[in-house]
Amino acid sequence: MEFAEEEFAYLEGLIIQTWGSFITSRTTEGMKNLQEIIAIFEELFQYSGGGKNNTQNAYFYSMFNGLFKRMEDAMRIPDYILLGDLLKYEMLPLIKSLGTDPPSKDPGEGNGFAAK
Amino acid sequence: MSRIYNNNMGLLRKLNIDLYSKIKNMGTTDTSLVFARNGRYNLLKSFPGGAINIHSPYNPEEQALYMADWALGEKPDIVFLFGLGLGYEFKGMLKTNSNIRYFIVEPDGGIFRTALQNIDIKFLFSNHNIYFIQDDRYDYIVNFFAGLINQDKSVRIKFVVLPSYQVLYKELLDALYEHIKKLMNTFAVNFYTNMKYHRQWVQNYIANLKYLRNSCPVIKLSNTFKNVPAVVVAAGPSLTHNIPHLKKIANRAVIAAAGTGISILEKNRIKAHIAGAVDGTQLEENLFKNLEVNKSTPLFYSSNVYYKVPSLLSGSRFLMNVNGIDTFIHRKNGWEFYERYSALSISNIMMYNLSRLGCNPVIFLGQDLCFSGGKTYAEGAEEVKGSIDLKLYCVNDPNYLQTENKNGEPVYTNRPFLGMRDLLESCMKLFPGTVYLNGTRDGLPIKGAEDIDFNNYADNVLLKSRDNYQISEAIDGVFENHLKEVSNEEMDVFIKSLENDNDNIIEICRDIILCIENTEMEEEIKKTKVQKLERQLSEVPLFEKIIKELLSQIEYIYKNRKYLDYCRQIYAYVLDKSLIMENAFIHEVNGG
Repeated sequence: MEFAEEEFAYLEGLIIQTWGSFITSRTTEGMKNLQEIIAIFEELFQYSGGGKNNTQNAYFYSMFNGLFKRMEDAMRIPDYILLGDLLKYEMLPLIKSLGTDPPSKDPGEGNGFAAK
Repeated sequence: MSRIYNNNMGLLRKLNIDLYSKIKNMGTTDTSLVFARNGRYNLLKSFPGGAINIHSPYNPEEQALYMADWALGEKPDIVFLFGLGLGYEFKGMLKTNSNIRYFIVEPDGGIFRTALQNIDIKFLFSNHNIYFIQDDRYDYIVNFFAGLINQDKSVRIKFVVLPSYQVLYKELLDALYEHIKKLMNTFAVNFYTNMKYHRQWVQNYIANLKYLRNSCPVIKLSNTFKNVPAVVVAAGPSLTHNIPHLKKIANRAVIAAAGTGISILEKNRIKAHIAGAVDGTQLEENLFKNLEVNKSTPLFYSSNVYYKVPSLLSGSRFLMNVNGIDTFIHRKNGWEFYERYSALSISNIMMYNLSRLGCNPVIFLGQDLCFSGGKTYAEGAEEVKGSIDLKLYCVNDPNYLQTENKNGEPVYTNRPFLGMRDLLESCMKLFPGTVYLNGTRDGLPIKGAEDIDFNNYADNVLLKSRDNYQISEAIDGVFENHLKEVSNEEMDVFIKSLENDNDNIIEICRDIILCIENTEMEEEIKKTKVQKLERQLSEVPLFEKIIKELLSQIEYIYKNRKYLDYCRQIYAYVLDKSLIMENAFIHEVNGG
């Protein structure tokens, strides 16, 4: 489970842009970008076999699923600042760490926001 | 209670005792102080659907700086900030630019009290460019905003809403946006109109003085039209459908042509009882040139109207109170007058004056407020207004907005039309006892005016009425009686006093500019001298009551300049206008 360099740069830019939209009350623009981010992840999860290929993928899969669940909760309120922050301060570092070794403990099953 | 809270409340008590009492008597709030991930304060506001962060739960300062950059990126003159919270965003903006004005609304009492308990709020009162209210009442916020655009005369306003407030105060914000949009439509149109035409206006002000000896204040007609129906005839495309019925109603209602409406009536050989004119540009002359049927139609005018127009009609003339010089003329001559009313179009002004005179009902015709059938005017206006096919370019032009007319059909309109409608609607509210009927077949709906089919109304109400008013005779009678009361000598003295005032203005403005441009004089001495000359100028009635009003429309452009530079620009502007007026006195009033 990893991104090509240009894919990563694009996603990073998109996340920062989406965060900026949410924290400046441009929510329509933010939600549009968020849909694109989710679509990128759906594709990634499909390509990587939904986290079943190896332990590292399973770890990231569960981490992202946990994050998506929190984003879904934020959207329900809706708390756009939290939504933007989750993208910038949680998702972005996680994406940056893709490709590094997973922690030794079993991450367990992902929950909530499952990739379709 | 904490020291911070006590200090803040002490400050609030000095500055705003009502707000102090409100906060002091507030019960428990649903806002709690929490910590962001970086250890800074944040607020969490609870509501039935959950709890919402007021600032970033990770890094409030980073969020605030981003917002500040975004908000100030377009270099606004004014920032209207909805939501204060703990003030991170506002402080970020203030740090980036403290020289612009900030209008801050904190609608949430609970949030404000929690802020008072935890942060020093001196920053809110540290700068004379900051205006703050804590209120969630629509009327208060709207008044606050209206005051802001009227005082500052600026259209560069940035609206900033904190994301959580957009969720918590959605309904209030929707209502505010709607109102602000209307205010901005009106303001933007007024602002650009004023800037464009000042030179022509001042020429008209003076050149029109020559008609005063043969003019009567509109208020003198106040007993003539009580409960007489009036039709305000504008020149919108729908008017074409009502021409045969307008011909028939004759003396069953006052037919008042507004602006281009007179051309359509003339073309169809219908004599109006009144023609209204206020447009200051030369184009207005085209409407009144070569009139035959309407040559002797009484004119309702303002001193602002293009100065050749009054001479093109041979009938009686009535002065309305539309601007500063109209009010000045009425006052100085001891004439009674209706409260001043100015609007974007002559239709609005005619509607106001007819309502004041007691006409009831007031019927709108040709008041389309949109391009019905892709047309700008009713048939017959081409000779004076030209012809354009709007269908060709409305579609892709952002200046044209698509909406629905009163029949539910899609039509194009624009901001000036919407501004006119807003003003019509607010004007109607001034006359709760008057019935307004919208007889414009394909026009936009007008709130407060009942939709009617004018042709049916004419057949079944106006033409069946036993009342057949002697309208023209009554108008002429009032006019003749007024002329008997007017003293030509007194009017000459009044006009001469204005000419003297103008000479004084020219002299003082020249002195100011010469003083500022004097390279040998020290700055402080220049300032003292200019201040003294400004005081002299403020004692000249023509400047104080008339020119100063025009000045208020342009002062904001130079407001950030240093005093002497500001004065140089402002008094050069005044000198320019006074020289135009001098010329009008010589050639138009004194016949030189």
